[in-house]
Amino acid sequence: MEKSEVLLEVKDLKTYFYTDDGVVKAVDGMSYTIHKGEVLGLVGESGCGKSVSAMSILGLIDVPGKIVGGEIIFKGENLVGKTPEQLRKIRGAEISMIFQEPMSALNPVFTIGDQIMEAILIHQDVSEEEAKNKTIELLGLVGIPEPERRFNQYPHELSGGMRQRVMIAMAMSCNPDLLISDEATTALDVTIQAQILELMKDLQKRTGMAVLFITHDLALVAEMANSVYVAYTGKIVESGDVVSIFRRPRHPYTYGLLSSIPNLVSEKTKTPLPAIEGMVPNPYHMPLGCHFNPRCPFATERCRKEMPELAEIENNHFVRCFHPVLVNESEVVS
Amino acid sequence: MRNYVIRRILQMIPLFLGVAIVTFAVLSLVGDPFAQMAINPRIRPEDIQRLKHAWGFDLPWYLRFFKWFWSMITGNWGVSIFAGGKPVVEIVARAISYTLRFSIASLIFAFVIAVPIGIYSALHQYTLFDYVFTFFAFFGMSMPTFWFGFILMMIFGLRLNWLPIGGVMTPGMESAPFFARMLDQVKYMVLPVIVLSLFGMGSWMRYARSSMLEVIRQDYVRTARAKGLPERTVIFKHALRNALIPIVTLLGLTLPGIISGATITETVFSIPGMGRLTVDAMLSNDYPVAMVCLLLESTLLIVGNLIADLLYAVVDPRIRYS
Amino acid sequence: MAIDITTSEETLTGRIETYWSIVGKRLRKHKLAMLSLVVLILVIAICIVGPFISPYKFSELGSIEEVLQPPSLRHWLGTDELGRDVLTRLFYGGRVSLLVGFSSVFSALIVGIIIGAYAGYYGGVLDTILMRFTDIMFSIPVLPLLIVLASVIPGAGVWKIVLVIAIFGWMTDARIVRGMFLSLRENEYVEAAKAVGVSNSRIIWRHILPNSLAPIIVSATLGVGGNIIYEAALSYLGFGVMPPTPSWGNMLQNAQYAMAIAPWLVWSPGLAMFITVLAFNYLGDGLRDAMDPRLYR
Repeated sequence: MEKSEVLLEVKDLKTYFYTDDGVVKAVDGMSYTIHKGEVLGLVGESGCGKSVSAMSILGLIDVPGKIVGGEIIFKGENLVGKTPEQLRKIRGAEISMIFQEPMSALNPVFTIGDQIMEAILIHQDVSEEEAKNKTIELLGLVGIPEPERRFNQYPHELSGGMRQRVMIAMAMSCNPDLLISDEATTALDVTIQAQILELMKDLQKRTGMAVLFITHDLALVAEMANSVYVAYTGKIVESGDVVSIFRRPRHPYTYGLLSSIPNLVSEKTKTPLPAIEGMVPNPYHMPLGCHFNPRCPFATERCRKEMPELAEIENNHFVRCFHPVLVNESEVVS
Repeated sequence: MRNYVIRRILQMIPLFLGVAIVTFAVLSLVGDPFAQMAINPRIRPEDIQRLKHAWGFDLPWYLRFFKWFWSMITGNWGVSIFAGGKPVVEIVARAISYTLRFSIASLIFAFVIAVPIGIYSALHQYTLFDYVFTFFAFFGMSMPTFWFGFILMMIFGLRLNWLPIGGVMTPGMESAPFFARMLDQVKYMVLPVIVLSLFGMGSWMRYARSSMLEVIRQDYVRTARAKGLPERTVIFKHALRNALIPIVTLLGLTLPGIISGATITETVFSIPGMGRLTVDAMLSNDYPVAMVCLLLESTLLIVGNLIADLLYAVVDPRIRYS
Repeated sequence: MAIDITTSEETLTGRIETYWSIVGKRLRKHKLAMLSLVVLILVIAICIVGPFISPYKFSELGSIEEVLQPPSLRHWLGTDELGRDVLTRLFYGGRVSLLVGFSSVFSALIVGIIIGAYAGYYGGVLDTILMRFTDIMFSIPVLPLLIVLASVIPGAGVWKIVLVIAIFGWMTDARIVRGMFLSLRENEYVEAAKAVGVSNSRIIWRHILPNSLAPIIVSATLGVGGNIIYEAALSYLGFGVMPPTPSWGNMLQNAQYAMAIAPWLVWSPGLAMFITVLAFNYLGDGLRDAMDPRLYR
């Protein structure tokens, strides 16, 4: 895919949480770039810092969390250091976000129409009447039947999939340049999940907005994204376009994640790598050296002492590893 | 909504019957309330017989229950055995009128002060303000009511001599001009209202605080922020509306207390209200008065529960339609 | 196909700790709760040891010169209207008040747990019956009926008060326990236990109850403080612990009439009670925070 203009550039972002038990470096020097109209997949296990980095972009990090370093350049302006009021004007208008739990993400005491209209009225100079029409139009756009009737319904009267559609309508209400989807389909049934993904893809194509697609599920990334960033313990460990990541994963962690997707690896190869052993390290006690070394089958003495840098291993394919996995391409290709 | 109201009202009926049975049973434990009248030589045996018949003490207990229950719900409450045979309705109404002025004043006082403080505390968690009022709330909840009453009496009544230490008005003020009479009665209200509010204030404050704390970490508050709403809209529209749901419910549950009174505080400050009337009637075996008081109070509790549920349905759309 | 990601506490943090050791650690960080615990231990210790050290007996009447004496070296907290040493009575009264507080909560808890557990576990008709009964008990004005019971149940001992308070004190516990059982009985480990043929009563007592202890412990801690005030209120009205046995409540009973001439009679029992109840409330609050499962993030 040819690269267009840069929309958002996260540079060496550091978001730390200062808790009673110590400092948690939730995001520790993460960098990624999203171009206009691009879908970027950010992948990792819970606690890898992917959601925190998204909340940092929106300026929604609460005490005890704090952005302690790095830049978030959005349309040429650094969002870090902007006043809360400036950030508020960007939120929901130019960058909007949908969350994991459609059940609890909508306010139970207001109608869904109210909640979508509110976003429009805040950011656009329109009358209530226009906002209402726009809302009904949006509800139709995201595939909600009988939008006029639904307008006056409360969230509890809608199914999970419908609620996520409402969330999407709300996020789309001001034609954002960037949509952040944080595990937006994780809580849904598989069939509903497919429908919601289809809707997001469709809307993305129609509007040309960029999407930051956050998930723990690599299979979804393959379906949605143009480029992929894999995060582990607050750092990017591998990045590249979707083809090179899926065909030639070089970081043992990415390799492990991929090998646990049955139809991609296990069924093809006779000797599948076992799923990644061990667990995400305690955020208060990160291992020395490469943070992945306790779980890595290829770890050496050097890995236990030094943190590798992110290095370009082939054109536009970066890996943070001293001993990148060498994969026979034919083995992995599905 | 209408179906919900009807269903809730129908559910009250067996509860009401159950409460009536338990009340009746407990008072029956005391035995024949008219037995001790026989010792008094000034009461004629015919009168005792007449009373026993009127209250069904010549019937088996289950018939006596129905007879009593019927006269209760038809408003045929009879007359007091003592107090010169005054109608029970009159005695109870008078006691309620005293209780109301203290309870309403203290409820408003507690609610209006405590709920905003609690919410402010939640929004400024772990600040000096929060710590000070959290301590105050615990202070209020840990203070034995009557002891707090004693202390106020000792300081403001006995030492400073600013306020009267008991009763409801200065003797002889009944015929004073309106404003002088009001002022006099307000003076008698100050200390009891403070005592009555203290516990409520503490618990309202804690309740409002924890309710708000619970709400501001909900996902929909994050959604509201992600929409780019101004912080005051996030707090005062999205969060507050939800935080008020449990507060309103609790308000409904405190309503019965407004009429049934607070026995302890009424005792400390010699207020002839409902709480004191109930206890006195039971102690003096004034059977007609005691039965009415008890049943009235339990009815109020049940009605209070109903009001709490209905308020709940008003503020929370999830209840309304299910 | 989702990658298997376990989200249990241990996995996320790498801590292999039991729930209770985490609770203990978090409670130790709650300064006010720890201070309260120390205060409570001190109060209990003083009440136990005090009477042995005191040169007076709690019912020992003083001579006429010793009636209503203000605090002095001989009587640190003064004497009451019968010339009895207030400090000594405060120790004994503390024993009685604490005993009433603890044992009434304990008895109410047993009733509440049994009713709540069976209602929540079995559900259906049993649940309906038990919960309607709980509703009825909740809808009865407690104080007047407490007074009737106190006058009907024979005897004048401390245990009568415990019984009376417990009879009207189990409903909240029952509702809490029922709520916990309703949600816990759906859990996998209960299904698993059923599948391998564990008896219902064993599931209730060995599998579900230990997992619903947190809210019960909080409610019990707050309850002890609440019941100490309850006893005091009953005693103040003349239906609680009967003289000459002192309790913090009945020591205040006569204080009201003597407050103009002997304010020290008002101060000491009330202050002792206030500090104790405050400590129970703070401790309960600290426990609630320490056990709050939502704070595990």
